Parts: sequence; structure tokens; C-alpha cells
Amino acid sequence: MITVFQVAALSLQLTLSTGDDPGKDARDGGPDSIDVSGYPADQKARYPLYQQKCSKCHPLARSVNSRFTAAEWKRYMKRMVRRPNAGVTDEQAGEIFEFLKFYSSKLGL
Amino acid sequence: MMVAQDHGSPRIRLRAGLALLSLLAAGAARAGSSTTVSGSVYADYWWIQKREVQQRAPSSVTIDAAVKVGVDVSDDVAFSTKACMSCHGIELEHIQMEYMPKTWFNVAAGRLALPFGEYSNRIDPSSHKTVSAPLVYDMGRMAYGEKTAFNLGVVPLPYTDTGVMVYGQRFLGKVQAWYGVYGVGGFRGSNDVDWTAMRSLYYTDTNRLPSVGGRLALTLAAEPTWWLGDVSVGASGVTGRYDRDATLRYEAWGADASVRIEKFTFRGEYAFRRTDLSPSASYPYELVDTWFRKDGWYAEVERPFGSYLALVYRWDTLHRQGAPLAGATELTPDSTITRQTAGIVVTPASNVFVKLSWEQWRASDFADFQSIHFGIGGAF
Repeated sequence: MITVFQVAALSLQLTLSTGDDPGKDARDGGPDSIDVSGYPADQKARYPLYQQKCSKCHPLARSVNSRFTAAEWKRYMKRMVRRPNAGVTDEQAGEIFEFLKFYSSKLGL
Repeated sequence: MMVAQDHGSPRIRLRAGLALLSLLAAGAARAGSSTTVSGSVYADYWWIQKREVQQRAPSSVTIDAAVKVGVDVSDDVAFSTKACMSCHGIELEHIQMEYMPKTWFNVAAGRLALPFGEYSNRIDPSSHKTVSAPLVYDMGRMAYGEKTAFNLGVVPLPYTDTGVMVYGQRFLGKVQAWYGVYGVGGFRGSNDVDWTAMRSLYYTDTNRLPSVGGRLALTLAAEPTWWLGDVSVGASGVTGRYDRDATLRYEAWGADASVRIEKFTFRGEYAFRRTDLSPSASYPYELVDTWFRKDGWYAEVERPFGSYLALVYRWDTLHRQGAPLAGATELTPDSTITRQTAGIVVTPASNVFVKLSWEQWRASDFADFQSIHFGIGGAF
């Protein structure tokens, strides 16, 4: 039984550390907002929509501190917007995706 | 009492499942699939004013923790699992595969956290401002929740069961119409539902008939510039047979609504369950109605004040009508619990929250009392 637990812990550790840079680990927690003061106007305009929709079911920090590429955000968002009561239209999902894609590029992902 | 089938220890299988999922997640991450790890921890201290009530509730310190691993294997396929630790020990809240080919047609299979009511969207401690679940959805953190008393709520959440769910959504302008139907093993028990058996015994059905249920939710998808936030209404239902011989039926229904106006969020839900009682149980009198009904509702309002503070107030009630179970000494055929909750949530640092709540409990068959919750938690 202990062995199975140890395997679970080890493999979970491997999962968490699969991101190369420990500083980019999602477990870091980190801030619950993004400083968009230096962002282009169109991205600044998208930020309130992202804030409103992506904090409805979980803390905003969960997405702020996720280190996803644009392709990964696309997959992840697909699951999120299909949740009951998500309240995100296709157009809004597109706007949020554009914002997160830009955010990923700013992080160098 | 239901007899457990001897298929090996559920705990060993759970740990083996966790190990397997972790390995899957690790392998998938290396293969280029996106992996998400999230979770929360919340430790709560519940002070209850009266000593005699302390014996009837899980007072003092409890923990509520969860870790979730999700793997998006491809654009259309995802796996996820979530392990929880609370009063019942370690348990899998869900372990499922999702196939998502179309917006309007998706399939989830495995051990599922099923959608019943709006609260099922926000069962994680970081997703609700109160310290406790509404009484209609309570899973074990309530007073007088013993089997011969209220036997928990109407549908304790998270409602986790084994089976398949088909779900999807359509947009009618800015209104999201979400629908889901499922077939699962169903509730278990012998004379009223045995909630402990739902989580501690083997994950197979106990009778030949699956239970079926579904949810429909309509949500107006608001824009951030509107004074009105998202508005949602929903309806849920589930029905099946819960005993080994598939003779005792239950059906549960619920309706819910929520709206955000400026900074205020208002929510309200009603839930009802009718459950057959076993005529062969040893009652000291003849049963007239071989069933009982349990229903209740809650209404709550919450409002943030800046980035660090939020207030919440909830009024909720739970009502049971029908013959008490054999062995019940205090419960009458018409019993009600009403609770008021006023709470404050402080977020001193990102991802960390502190909850403080005062509760006033009034019960028609049991002692009234006041209590205070204090807890600290975090989410990532």
C-alpha cells in the first residue's frame, strides 16, 4: 500500500515538474491579477471580460499562474466554456482566448 | 444494512487509481499534452455553543482538501481526476474521460461529479464564501445529520456516481442553454439512503437498474460593461431505485436561480426528494405512507468590498415529512431545521482566504443553538 502511495507521489512530482523551469510551476500560486498597464489598447479592453468570466467558478489566480501556450489555452478553454452556467458566448471566448494568447507570448511561452 | 461485496479494499484501489492517473498525467505532459494541476486546502474550526449539540455534529477541527489533475490529450479528448480529503478520509470526487467532438454533444464517462443545482458548480471551498454547504446539499457538516435524524440533506454534494453523462450547449443569442443527461449506479441503502455506503463501498451498482437524471441551465452571458452580471436559472432531477432488490424508489428535483447586480450576487435554490421506506423494516406501528419527503431551500447574497474583503448572508431551511426511521427517538413526522449564516471572508494574500461565520440554528425537534466557524485555506 505504501509503495503504491510512493509511486503516486513520485509520479505527481514528475507531472508537476514537467515544465522545465521550476519558476514556471503552476503551484507557485502567485498574483491574482495581471498588470496590463503596458498592454496594447485592444488587450486592455479584453482584460475586464477575462477577469469577469474566469473568476466565476475558480479563483482568477488559477489562470493567471497557469503557464500555457496558446494551443494549450485553446484546449483548456474549450472544456471551461462548456461547463454549466459558464455564460461565455463564442465571441466572448474568442476575445478571452486572444487575451490569453497575448499573455502567453508576454511570458515567452 | 447493505452488505458490502468483497472485491478488495476500496482504499487500495483508490491509491492505485491515483498512482495510475499521476503516471498518466506525467506521461501525457511529456508527450506534449497540456496538464493542469489545481487544488485547495481548507481547515475549519467549528465552535458550538451547547455541549449536547457538540455530540450531534462534527464540531471542532475538520479539513477539506482536494487535488485535481486534468490532461487535455487532444483537442477532443480529456482526462481528469480529483481526489478529496475530508471527514470521510481520502476519496475520489471524480475520475473521468471526456470526449468533446461538438459544442452540442459531449460525453463524460467514469466516476462523475454530477450536476445537481447551481451549488454543484462551486463546491470547492475556494468557490463559495460561506463556510458550509446549504442544508439541502449538506454532505456531513451539519448538526442532527445522523441517519435516524435528518440523514444529511436532499442530495449531498458533490454527488459522485459511476456512469455516463451526455451534455452540450446551444446559444440562443446571448443565452447559454446547457443540458446534460446521465445514467449512473444511483443511491444505495436499505431503508432510506445510506450515504456512507455511497462513498465507502465498491463503486458498482447494488441493483439491476441504473438511475437516470439530468440538468438544464439557462445563463445570460453578460458583458463586463453591463450593470447586470450573468443571470442563470436551472432545473435538475434524478430518479432511481436504491435498495438491492430494486423495489424502493427515490426521486429528487431542484430549481435554482442566480444573478449578479453591480457587486451583489444573489442566489436561491429549492430541492426536493421523495424516498420510499421499506415496509418490512421493524416499525413499532403500521406505516400509513411508505415514503417520506424531504425538501428545503436557501437564499443568499454576497458582496465583495475591495480586493481583500467580502460579506455573505444566507438563510436556509430543511424540512422532513413522513414516518421517522425505526429507532429514531426524537424525530417527529414533521420536522424542520432553519439556519441563518452571516460570514466574512478576508483575502490577506493572493490565493489565501480566511473565513469567519456566525450561525443561528433553529430546529423543531432538536435544541436550538448558535455556533461560530473560523477557517483558513488556500487554492492554486
